[in-house]
Amino acid sequence: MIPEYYEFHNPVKIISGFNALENIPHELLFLGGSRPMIVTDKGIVGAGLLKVMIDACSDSGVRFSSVFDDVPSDSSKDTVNTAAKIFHETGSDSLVAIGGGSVIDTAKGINIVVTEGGTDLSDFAGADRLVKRMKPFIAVPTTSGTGSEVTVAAVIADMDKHRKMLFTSSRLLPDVAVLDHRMTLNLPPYITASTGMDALTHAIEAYICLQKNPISDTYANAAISLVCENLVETIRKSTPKRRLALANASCLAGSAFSNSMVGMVHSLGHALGGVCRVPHGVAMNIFLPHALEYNMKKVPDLIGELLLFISGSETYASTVSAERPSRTIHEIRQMQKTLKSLSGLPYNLKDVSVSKNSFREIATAALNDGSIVHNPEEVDFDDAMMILEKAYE
Amino acid sequence: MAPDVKGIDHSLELNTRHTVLRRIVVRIVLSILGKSFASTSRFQKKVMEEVSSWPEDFSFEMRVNPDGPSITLEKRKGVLVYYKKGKHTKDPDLIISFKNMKSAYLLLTAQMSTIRGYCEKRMSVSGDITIATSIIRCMNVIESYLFPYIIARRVIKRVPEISFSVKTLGRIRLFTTGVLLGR
Repeated sequence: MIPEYYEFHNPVKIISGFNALENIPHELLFLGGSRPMIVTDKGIVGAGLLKVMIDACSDSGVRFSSVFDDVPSDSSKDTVNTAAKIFHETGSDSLVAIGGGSVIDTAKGINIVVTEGGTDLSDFAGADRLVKRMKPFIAVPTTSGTGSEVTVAAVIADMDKHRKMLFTSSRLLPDVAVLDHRMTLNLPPYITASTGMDALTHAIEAYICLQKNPISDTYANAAISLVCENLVETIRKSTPKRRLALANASCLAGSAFSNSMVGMVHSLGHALGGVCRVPHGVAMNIFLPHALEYNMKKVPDLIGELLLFISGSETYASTVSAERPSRTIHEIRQMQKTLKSLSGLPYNLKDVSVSKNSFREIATAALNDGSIVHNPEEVDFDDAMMILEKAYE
Repeated sequence: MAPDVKGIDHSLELNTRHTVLRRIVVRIVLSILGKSFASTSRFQKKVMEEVSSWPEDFSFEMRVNPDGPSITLEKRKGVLVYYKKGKHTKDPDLIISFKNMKSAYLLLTAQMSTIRGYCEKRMSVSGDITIATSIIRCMNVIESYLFPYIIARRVIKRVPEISFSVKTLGRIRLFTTGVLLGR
């Protein structure tokens, strides 16, 4: 059904496939970037992925001004401010981020500071506070989960105030996203599973939440099919084709949710990450089936439709329509059990050592997360506590 | 605009009767909403709880783009103080903008829910999303006081549960000193 009104915006150029990395110098030239700064982390350097990218660009004459590899596992304001200083000192004019969500978010933060001016990122926290056109920015994801290469948001921690700052603006979108299987081919099973479930959650929430539209639905459906067809098989045996499929799934899901937003899975997941430091993908995996059960009364048809993309046309057609929503949730739970046995990915709060004493703090934080607004069903404190209890074991 | 050589006047009459009326309605309803906010921050338990979590001197503006009416609310000594357009001298910490007069009209006259308006990008938020979420919860409470249940349930995802006696006394206060004085 077409909504009465919607907006969809995704100007990111997506380059996907064989030798995609080799096209980075061409894209930089087109964007007017002659001295790009590379933003990455030590894990990427240690895994040899930075070398793969630099070697891919080696016969082009591109000169990277500097490599900033001090990005921590959770992007932080201090890191961004330090990197922005280096950006200026090295005369850089563009950014290439190679890494996971944290690296890409850090690069987005750097772009804010070096473009808007000033020295402190905190001044720009919030929604739609950016007024200037950003420096040229290319994102090369090395996980298949966050979709940060096509999203309007960045989450960066303020360690002094023990809080996570959210930045949203269409100006944060990279100019180019490069999907190359070489970046994820050797990703360990646990990370593959958690980032894969992150991508699946993005796509599912984009499909059922209030800001959905026909274009985001199409992206979400494609992402759900790609994840469900490839995630388990990739963990069993990683191949370039499957890795590229998951990279595309993550990108499609990112584009979908960047436009249609997400809901209570992310509200609870962000809160869990902030309070108990549970990694994002793990949190998504834990809350996904419980959130679907909670929303089932409000959007049963939408949840039922997901079965087609999760399990295929035969399962969908052979399931009575009234039973499709619960069958959808059942299939997701089966996938979770398979992923747990293959990779050890936990699917309850007890297994990630979350204490029930933290529940009140998590519930309060979840209600203050912006994504709760887009959830189909209203969520109050008692509802959040109930979900946490159900997700405990 | 002067007529062209064929004597056809291409000027457009933009200020139609409907446009003027809509503008007046938006200005009045926005003022009522702002004063209701200020008033409920003094007596309504849920609104007081939300406002208590905001920093002192925090201010937010609700405006109609590009040059429509606006109101500002500022937290001073634990309660909200109402300012009409042009009276608040500081830059607000958060801005809720209605994209245009038509969008403001639909939202403020309860023809469209706040959530739907937000999802359809008919209004946007610039500033701290955490406090924006808190403001939306306050607006749900305030709308449940301003509108009868049959209208409130169309514009709010879940009408807050408030006892009949509390709501009745609250409405009496709101529709007397509240919408007139913002107290």
